[in-house]
Amino acid sequence: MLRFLALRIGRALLTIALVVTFAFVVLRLSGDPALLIMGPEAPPEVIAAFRKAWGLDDPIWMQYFDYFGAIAQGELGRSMRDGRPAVELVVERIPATLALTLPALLIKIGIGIPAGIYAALHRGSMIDRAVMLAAVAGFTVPSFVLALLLVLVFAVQLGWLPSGGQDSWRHAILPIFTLGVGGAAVLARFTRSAMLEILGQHYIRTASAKGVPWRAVVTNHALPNAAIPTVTIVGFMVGSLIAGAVVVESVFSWPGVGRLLVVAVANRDLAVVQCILLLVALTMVTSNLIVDFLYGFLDPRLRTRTGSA
Amino acid sequence: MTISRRSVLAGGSALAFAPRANAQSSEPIKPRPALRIAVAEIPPTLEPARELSNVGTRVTYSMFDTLIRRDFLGAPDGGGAGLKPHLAVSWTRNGPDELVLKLRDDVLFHNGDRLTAEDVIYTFMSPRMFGEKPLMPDARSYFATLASVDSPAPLTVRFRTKVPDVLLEQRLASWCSWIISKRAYEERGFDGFSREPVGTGPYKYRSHQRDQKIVLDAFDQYWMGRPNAESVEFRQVPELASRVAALQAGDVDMITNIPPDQVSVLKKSPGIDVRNVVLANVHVLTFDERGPQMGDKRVRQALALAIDRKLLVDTLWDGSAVVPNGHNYPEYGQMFLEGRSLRYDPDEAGRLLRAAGYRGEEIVYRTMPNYYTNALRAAQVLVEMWKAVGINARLQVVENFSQMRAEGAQIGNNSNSTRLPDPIGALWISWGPGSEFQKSGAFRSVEAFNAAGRALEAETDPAKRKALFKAMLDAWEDEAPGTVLYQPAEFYALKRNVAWRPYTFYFMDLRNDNLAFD
Repeated sequence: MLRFLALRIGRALLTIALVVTFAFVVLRLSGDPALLIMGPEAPPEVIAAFRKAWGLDDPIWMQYFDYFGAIAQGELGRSMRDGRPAVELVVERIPATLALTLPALLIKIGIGIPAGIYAALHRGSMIDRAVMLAAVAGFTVPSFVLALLLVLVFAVQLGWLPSGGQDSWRHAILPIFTLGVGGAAVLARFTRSAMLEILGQHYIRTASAKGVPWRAVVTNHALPNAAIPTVTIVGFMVGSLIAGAVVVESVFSWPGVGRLLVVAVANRDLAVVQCILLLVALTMVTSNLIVDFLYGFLDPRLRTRTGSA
Repeated sequence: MTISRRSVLAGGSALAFAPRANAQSSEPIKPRPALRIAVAEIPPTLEPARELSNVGTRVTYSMFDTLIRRDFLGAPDGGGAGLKPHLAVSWTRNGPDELVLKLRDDVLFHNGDRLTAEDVIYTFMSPRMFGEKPLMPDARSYFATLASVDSPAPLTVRFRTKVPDVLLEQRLASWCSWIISKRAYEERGFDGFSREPVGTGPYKYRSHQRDQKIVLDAFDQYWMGRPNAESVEFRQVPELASRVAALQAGDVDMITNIPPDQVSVLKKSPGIDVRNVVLANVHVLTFDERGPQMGDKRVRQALALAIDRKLLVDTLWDGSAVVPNGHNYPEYGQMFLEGRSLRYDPDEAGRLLRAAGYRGEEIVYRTMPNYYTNALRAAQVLVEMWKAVGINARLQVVENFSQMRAEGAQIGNNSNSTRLPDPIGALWISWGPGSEFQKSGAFRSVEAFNAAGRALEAETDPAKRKALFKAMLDAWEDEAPGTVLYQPAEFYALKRNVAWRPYTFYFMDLRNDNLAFD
């Protein structure tokens, strides 16, 4: 178990280092922050002064090692736009993003999993078809389109809800719903597929043939086995809690981490971008780590295989 | 308690205002609406000389005042270039390099301090934007000729320039000449002041939530009178569709940054008006002399001659943009050169290409898709126009200016702003020796252009200045390091009950003479 843990943690750290390196190289090579922030009409000496002030005139390898050295000391840099610490900017956005993504996650799980299970248990019925139709619609309609549609109906036409912003709890309804619908559709489809696969297994038939009540067959044999792919998807959803609402935050002018990331990338505000990516990588890696442990919990065979490897 | 000269002045001014306050209180106070504006982006700070983009000046223009006011409203197109007293009641020229201004005595800052000559001196002479290493070097470049500012008498300031500067009055009515409070700046420091600035304008800082919104409150002691709006909120709504929906839903009163193709849709919406203005700016194409095939000026001239600009304006801008008379604009007043135009002559373009020995070698046109409105669509049309005269142009879409200016650049996009209503404040700034184009070597056939421009900088006689401008423009058009496409239009949509006019700059003036509610 210790080896399993050490391997997973080592892989997680390597992933984070690769993400940060990749972001550093891509952002440094694809645009000059000085030109982007100061604008094309800024005099050359102003651009030069900006580069000097932010160390952008150093060789890229030196900037890279400086950056990693700073991270090792817990210093993630400052925003080139207003000079504030990048960590401070990112951390102050996290509550806003979580205010959307956590309720949306509950909607996804609360609607998607039961709908998928119900559809699988009533395969071929009208309800199954209705659930799958809704799931395909929710899955295929881009969140951008769904968001605008909801705004047109509930803000412009009916006037029930605000079109954007973050002034009250009412402002959160449409973005949460937009995020929740798409995720619930994905979960419903995956859960249904996993359940159908498990329900076709020999051991399910055997249990039924032995006279085990159908409810017990589903609860004790089908659901735990079908949980693995579902847990994987939920794990991804948990991993994207921090930066998984970029489009929705943009459409609803919601000042979360996703919006900050878009603005920071556009301006090549490197410290902020790297800070967000670091956070996203950490969240994703942690979530994957938890999912890995859950696999072992859900399926004892995986523990045995890892242990014997 | 420390009694300083400032606190005495502030107390005095409070007393001076007391009768007016009492007089106001005897009348019923008219309730005022709050103005909510959805913009694509808000600035990260509110230091007016730090945020010089359209995003920043839109907000700061109503928080700060200049000594002299440019009368944009003096022309029907919102581009008037006349000058009016503002924080200064009068000004006098003591020669080509000295200007003395008399300040108003009834101006208060948002923190209650009274405006003094010291504030004006601090605005221009402190390390904020002066000296060897100013905090804001970009701001310094707008006052590069400034030698000193002092106060020969109370409420009097004297500006001296290193060289004769006929544009000093215009400079004091424009970019980076917004007066700040010395005490607030010293107390808060550069970053603190940038977050919570103190000016004398009609609206004062209330809150700033980065990338979300900026809220300003009416400054009721404003020397021009109580502002017409109770507060102003600039709300960041990055998506165009969301801005339009917010206006239609009544969540905001005004939206900005509307592309021309959305205008007809918005005009059909009940209760909504669309107002537009031709900007004091031109979209230009840059022809890099270092690029392959681009060293021969006849090829560059041919590229310029092959463009049917009127067709671009009519089709892409629905006629709302303007083809100017070269890099030469009516707002120059007496410096405007009559009778000039941008020629469209495909036959002459073909002849020049043959004379230059051009044999269809590929010429790459780099453009960004969204930085300039309609840039990509214009580029697609331009490539076809060039093909029609035999130029083998290929469009390459890039993400940013670094990629556009990277090695191998031939044709690129840019825009030139008319910062001051004079060629020195437009063509010379954009293409002169201090410009990126000359410093990088993209524009290197500069002898005639620079000679005329340098002479123009030092000249004060109007007739000679006009002749020098003509020589400078002739040289620029002959060498063709770039060419003007058109002056773009900017569109705003707002509720019909809001009486407001846009200016040819992105400055959003919310003073009472330009903002009212029906």
